Amino acid sequence: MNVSGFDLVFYGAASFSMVTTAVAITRSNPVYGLLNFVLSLLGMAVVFYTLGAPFAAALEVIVYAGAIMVLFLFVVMMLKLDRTTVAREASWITSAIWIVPILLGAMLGGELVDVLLQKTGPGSAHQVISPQAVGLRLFTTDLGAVELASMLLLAGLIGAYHLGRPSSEGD
Amino acid sequence: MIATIQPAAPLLILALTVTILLAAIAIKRSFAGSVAITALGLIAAVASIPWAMHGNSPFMASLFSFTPDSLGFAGLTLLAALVTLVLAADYLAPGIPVPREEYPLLLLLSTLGAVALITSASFITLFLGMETMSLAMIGMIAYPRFRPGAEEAGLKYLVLSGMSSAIVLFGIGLVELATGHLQLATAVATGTVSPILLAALALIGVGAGFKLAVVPFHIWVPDVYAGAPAPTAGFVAVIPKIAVLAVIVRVMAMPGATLSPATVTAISSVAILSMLIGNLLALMQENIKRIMGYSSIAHLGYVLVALLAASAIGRAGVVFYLVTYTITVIGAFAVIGVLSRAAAARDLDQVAEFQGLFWERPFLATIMTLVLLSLAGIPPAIGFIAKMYIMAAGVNADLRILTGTLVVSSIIGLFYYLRIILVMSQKPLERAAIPGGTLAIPMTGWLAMSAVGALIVGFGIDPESLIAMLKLVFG
Repeated sequence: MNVSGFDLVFYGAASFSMVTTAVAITRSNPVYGLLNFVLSLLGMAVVFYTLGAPFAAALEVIVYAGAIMVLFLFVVMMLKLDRTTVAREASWITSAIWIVPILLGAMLGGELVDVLLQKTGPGSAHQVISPQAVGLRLFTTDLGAVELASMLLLAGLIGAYHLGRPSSEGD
Repeated sequence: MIATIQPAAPLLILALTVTILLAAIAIKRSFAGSVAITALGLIAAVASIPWAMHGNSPFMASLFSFTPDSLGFAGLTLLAALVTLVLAADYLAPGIPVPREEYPLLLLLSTLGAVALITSASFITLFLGMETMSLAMIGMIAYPRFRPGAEEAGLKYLVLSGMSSAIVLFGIGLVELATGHLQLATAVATGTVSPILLAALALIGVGAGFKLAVVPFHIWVPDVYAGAPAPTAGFVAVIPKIAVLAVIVRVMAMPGATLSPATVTAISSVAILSMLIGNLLALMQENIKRIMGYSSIAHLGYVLVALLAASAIGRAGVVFYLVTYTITVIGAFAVIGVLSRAAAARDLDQVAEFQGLFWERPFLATIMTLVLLSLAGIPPAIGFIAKMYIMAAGVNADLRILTGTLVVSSIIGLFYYLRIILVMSQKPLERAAIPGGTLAIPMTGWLAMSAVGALIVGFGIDPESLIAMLKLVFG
């Protein structure tokens, strides 16, 4: 069987994602779990990239790993603001805890470097979907789905706003 | 221009109403105004359906399928939403510590999601519609957030609905992997049965099972129904089930759709378990909302029997039963709803609290009796005809075990339905309060109740008129 560099990157990133997800869900410390989950999402981004979807890969990094998970981390950290829990949390995050994420991160980084060195374009076996193609579909054939998604977000927003507003308001 | 959007008229009218309502609330908060706009929007959407059925040009054909039968199911959803709105308008009386204007908006969004799901032609719209429907519903369940029970029910629905959505999404991914299509029709037409496709079917089936609330995906039902405010509980009990069954009925009628023996066995076991467990668990309940929850599990089991019959009579049975189920379940929650108010700590939902209803509020007790007779499948209520339809479909397709279970579980069901009627007809206790106290029932409440009662008896005595109407729409 002819194993190309891209296959290696794909399987490497996929197993990386699986390992980090497994680590994420087995941690008792939420911060540690979330950090692993961020790594897992970065691994997923590489998987998307090798499959020929650079736009989805970028979204995965920016939206999921970047915005949503950082928000999660903020919330988790804000929930334990008193001094004893901070001290306890500090005792959790020891240097030993960083070893595995750094190793896994290095693995992903190495793969990225490998991809950049090859310069053959992603997903040799797959059709590459450019951001323009995605945008074109969202504005033409899938326009109805985009509008429906806006209604979905509106429903979530109104529900969350109603349930989360201070109770002193209202009639 | 008009001709291109003609088939999508109900969906577009709903979306337009959402924007108008948002603008109206932003300008000036008024509960009566919000209810009026929502009601007008829903009525306009219902009224547009006959016109939409005559549309010839497909509208966004890769995403939506506005066929007469999907529009028919959409109409049923819209009417159920309209009755829910009427009940909620009375139920959310002034004096609750939260603003009331968002409720019609959430109701509208949830209905929009349901209509999108019913008319979906692609897995994209199917998933988005399902999510819009469920997410707005969570807001409706937890709406009286000063009630701990409502908040708990909302949280439970949020977690389980999120989980089932994730499972469905995984299944959709596998369908795409196996067939290379996200279109329902083309994915069904590929016809090849691969292990991946079977896994996908199982995952999507689990998600549909959660929405239909059949055993073994039923654990959330009693808690959510009991915790949700009565009008929402009726909505949750009816809308997702119409929407999901509409999609299943449509997919099963597509060319290339065949049920493999393994799938038939799986659905049969789910149906048998739902019928038996739903009815047996309902026996031990003291809360009418919980009884309705368990009863709805059993009724969905009955519908699955008709679905398995997979014939013209089976299809007609599903549609007829769904209409019957909608009318009666909305009716049951309507009776609880008009006797309860959001400002109270909880709804009037204990069986014992209904003692003496016949003596104090004979009209309400009559409606409730009709609803219960219909659920039990006793003439002259419409439920009798509906159950007979399903029996006929089952016997016709020679589904002996399923039809036998249907008969046995219906007999078990009789006990708890008739017990409520018995409690209502007992003399009120001397020192106990009248059911619902001095609560005055507004005109709109009376109207909704009369409509439900008239439909149950009217279609029960003259089912031909309903059958003719359904034949016209569903062919």
